[in-house]
Amino acid sequence: MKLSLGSDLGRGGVFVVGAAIVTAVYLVSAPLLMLVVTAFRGPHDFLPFEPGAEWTLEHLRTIYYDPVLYQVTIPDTLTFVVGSVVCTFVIAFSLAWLVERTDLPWRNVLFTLILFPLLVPTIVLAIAWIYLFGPNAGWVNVALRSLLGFSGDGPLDVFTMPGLIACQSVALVPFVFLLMSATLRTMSPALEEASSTSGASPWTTFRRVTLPVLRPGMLAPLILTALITLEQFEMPLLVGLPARINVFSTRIFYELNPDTGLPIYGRAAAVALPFLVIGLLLLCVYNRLVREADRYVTVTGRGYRPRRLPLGQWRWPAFTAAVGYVGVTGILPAIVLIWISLYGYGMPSLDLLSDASLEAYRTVINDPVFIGATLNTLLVAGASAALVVVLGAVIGWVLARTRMPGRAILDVVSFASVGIPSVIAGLAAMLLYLTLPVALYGTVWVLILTYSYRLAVTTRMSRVGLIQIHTELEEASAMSGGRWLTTLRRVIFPLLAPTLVSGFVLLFIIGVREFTLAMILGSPDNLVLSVLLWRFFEDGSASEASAVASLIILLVVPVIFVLRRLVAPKAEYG
Amino acid sequence: MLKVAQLSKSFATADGAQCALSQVEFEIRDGEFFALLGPSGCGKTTTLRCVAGLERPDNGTISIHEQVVADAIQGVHIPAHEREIGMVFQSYAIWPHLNVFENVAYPLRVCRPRLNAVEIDTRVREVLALVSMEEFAERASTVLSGGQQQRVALARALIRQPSLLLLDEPLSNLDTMLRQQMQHELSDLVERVAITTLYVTHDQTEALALADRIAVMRDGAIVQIGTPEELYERPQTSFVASFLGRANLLSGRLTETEDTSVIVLDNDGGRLRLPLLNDSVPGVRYDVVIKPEDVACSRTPPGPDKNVLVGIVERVNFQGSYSECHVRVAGTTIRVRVSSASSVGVSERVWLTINPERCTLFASR
Ligand SMILES: Nc1ncnc2c1ncn2[C@@H]1O[C@H](COP(=O)(O)OP(=O)(O)OP(=O)(O)O)[C@@H](O)[C@H]1O
Ligand SMILES: [Mg+2]
Repeated sequence: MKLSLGSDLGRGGVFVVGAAIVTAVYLVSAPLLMLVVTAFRGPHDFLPFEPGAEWTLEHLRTIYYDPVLYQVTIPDTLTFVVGSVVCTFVIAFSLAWLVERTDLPWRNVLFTLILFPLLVPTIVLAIAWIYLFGPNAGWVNVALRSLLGFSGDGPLDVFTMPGLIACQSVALVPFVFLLMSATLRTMSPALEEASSTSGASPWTTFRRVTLPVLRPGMLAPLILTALITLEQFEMPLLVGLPARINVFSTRIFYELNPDTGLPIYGRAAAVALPFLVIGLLLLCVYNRLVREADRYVTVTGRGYRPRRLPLGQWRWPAFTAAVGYVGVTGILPAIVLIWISLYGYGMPSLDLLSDASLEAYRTVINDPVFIGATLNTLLVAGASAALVVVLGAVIGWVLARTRMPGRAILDVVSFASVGIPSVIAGLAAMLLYLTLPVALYGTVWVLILTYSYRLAVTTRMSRVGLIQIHTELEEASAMSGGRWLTTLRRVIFPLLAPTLVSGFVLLFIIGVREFTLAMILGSPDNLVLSVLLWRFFEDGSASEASAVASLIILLVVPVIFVLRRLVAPKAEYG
Repeated sequence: MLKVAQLSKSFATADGAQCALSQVEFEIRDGEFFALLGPSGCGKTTTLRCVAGLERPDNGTISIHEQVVADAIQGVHIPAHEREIGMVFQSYAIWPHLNVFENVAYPLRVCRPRLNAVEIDTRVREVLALVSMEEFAERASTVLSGGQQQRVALARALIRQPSLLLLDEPLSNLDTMLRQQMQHELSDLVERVAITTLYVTHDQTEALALADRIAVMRDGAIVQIGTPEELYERPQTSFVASFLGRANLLSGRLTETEDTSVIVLDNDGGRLRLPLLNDSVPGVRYDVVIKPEDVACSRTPPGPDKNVLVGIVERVNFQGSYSECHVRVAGTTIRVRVSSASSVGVSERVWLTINPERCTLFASR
């Protein structure tokens, strides 16, 4: 049903589609426009449209004539991104290959355990690792010192560039692992089998067939990982700043929260501009690669079962390595947080076991600020997920089913959010809502609107879902006398339900994990859990911070299981 | 009641606009069963979708009961949901999230003014009984067989009691046995509810069996319109003749005219002696159409004075009471029917006798 004009949609339909398009374009582009404008407005203690502000190049000059940008910000960002991407990739690929293509024992359990940190806010992981690897009192360091007979600090120090890269990589591995394992799972085994029957050893096959065949499919996730690393804020803030590492996201934060004086918005915007351009460029490259990878045939139809490589004598060493990885990155952080929440910040020992105290939990739960932050977190994550799911479904429909003029622009706008670093999205939203004459700034509504710039996920999902739904199912509704809105409500949404629910779950998790946007747009009225956690940590209240972290995990896990159950029975005809 | 005039439509494709319909014209009378027949890709579905309002014509007008529903020049386009037409889609388009009852009730649930629950219930059960599906009302629609899906789709199309029913190859998804049965049920049903029907198919036996009148289409245009008898007995082009009878098409050049016409077939295929044509011109190329059942096949040379072609059997398709042989004669393949008992074998040499009375000639273009 390729429509060209409004009469097929009806007046209500035109209104709904129009409203969705306007909202989507607004959510993504209005803040960015404000950001660009702000970079050129001064003087520096004025908001961009305050009376007295005028056009100026002052901020650009201050930022780009300053050697700090070239000696610290850019090199640090580059080292951080390249280092993290390389580490993330090597680890994620090895794990994915072991789990998907070899006879590794317990691979299903490992699969779940590797993914677990995906649910936990990065800030929780950052805090756990500082408690574990802090140079002075970190558990691992204390243990190593007593084992090796060292004194003083160390031997490991998380507050260094390698420490930062290690933390960041481990935080990103689950996501990249998920992408990799999907690619590896769908790779046709016939290609490898052809190599084996040509007389190649398994190792030769891996080197000469598996890797080259996978390269196009791996390049796109590589770029995506670079994009995501570029926008990371939590690790650079908690681990990087104490080590005097200043990447672009923390630099923007610093411009907004200077040690002395008022924030200089124009400068923050000026720092943001080149990174926004880099993000969008990477996005273009990514899009191209995805399209090329689709053309490269590594995938055959269904109905085959990839043959698993027997690891032979390497089976148990590989298993030990994988379990070791999961232990250090998933289980140890959970233990350290739970221990500290019960026993306070000290080395664990068996003698202490009976001294457990729920004091920290009691303090936290009785604190009205905690209750408020919990409600805010649920409200913001839930409302923005719902908004984005509905917008994404309508826009996905327009893109998949119509030939509306301007579709291409809509496509770009809805997808652009992937290329916009969240620090920049937060900064841009801040500028917009400080300027607009509505009293939104500092409320939860600002957070809901800003979180909702992540339209790409649901638009893409709905579009893919719609392609699998025969158009005649929609046309049958029109032939039954249903107006477009009726069709949308009674046919399109129900058929898309499995997609919409998984989209909602995904965005809800992203919303609960969100720290960057909430931190930049934070006020006492719209405090969310991740920011509250950071506050406890900064104040040195280790027990309370750990208690909040444990509670966040407790909050996220059941939500996911409940929602998954809702999706499962409906997935049959999806 | 349905009038389609000068209908044209082209689609934008990667390599420019592709013309799907050009100047399609036909008229359907009240209560008539009208079929659009043509080979795959000739524009039948596109025509149907223009009538339904799912597609906008580039040119032409469509009117139902004297009311113009689409006029490209005037910019009139009544959207599909306001046309009160029942339609059965090729895929049936049964909604998987609704059960049988709800699928059929849907048109009543979305119409204005709203009907009350009791009335909806009675009408759904009535129409389900009409298609003998009443005991399946509460069945999930994902577990229906092909034939049951088709009945549900029909019930859904009929429940609003539309004045026009559109059917897009409704039998093509069914297996042979079921197709026969559904064909009978369909014609019974349409007769009982006395509804004007526009039926799209590429199967000439279906069209011949069901339709009051047939429009034969080719390459986006209508070639001939008529009753099944007219089309079968008096085709106006060799295309109609060969498509309707699944007939053989032989091409050749007219050479001599004394008391008979002689056609020299291409590629030294032999000669056909036919009754004298009225206004024949020597040297002109002709298409000769002959149905498989009008060709006799023997394994020994028949007597003289007959139209005989010699060929080699390429393939034998067993069809039950008879077999269809593909016989290679010079450059072309001729299909003939032989009795299954005759046991003609592949690679065998056979003599084909063609009855001149049964041949139809068309000057080829
Ligand atoms: N949406 C479209 N975009 C581009 N071309 C189309 C579209 N729909 C149909 N066509 C083209 O228009 C022509 C007619 O298509 P149509 O579907 O009407 O054929 P049909 O007679 O129904 O064939 P079939 O018996 O295979 O269903 C075809 O060449 C087809 O490729
Ligand atoms: Mg068709």
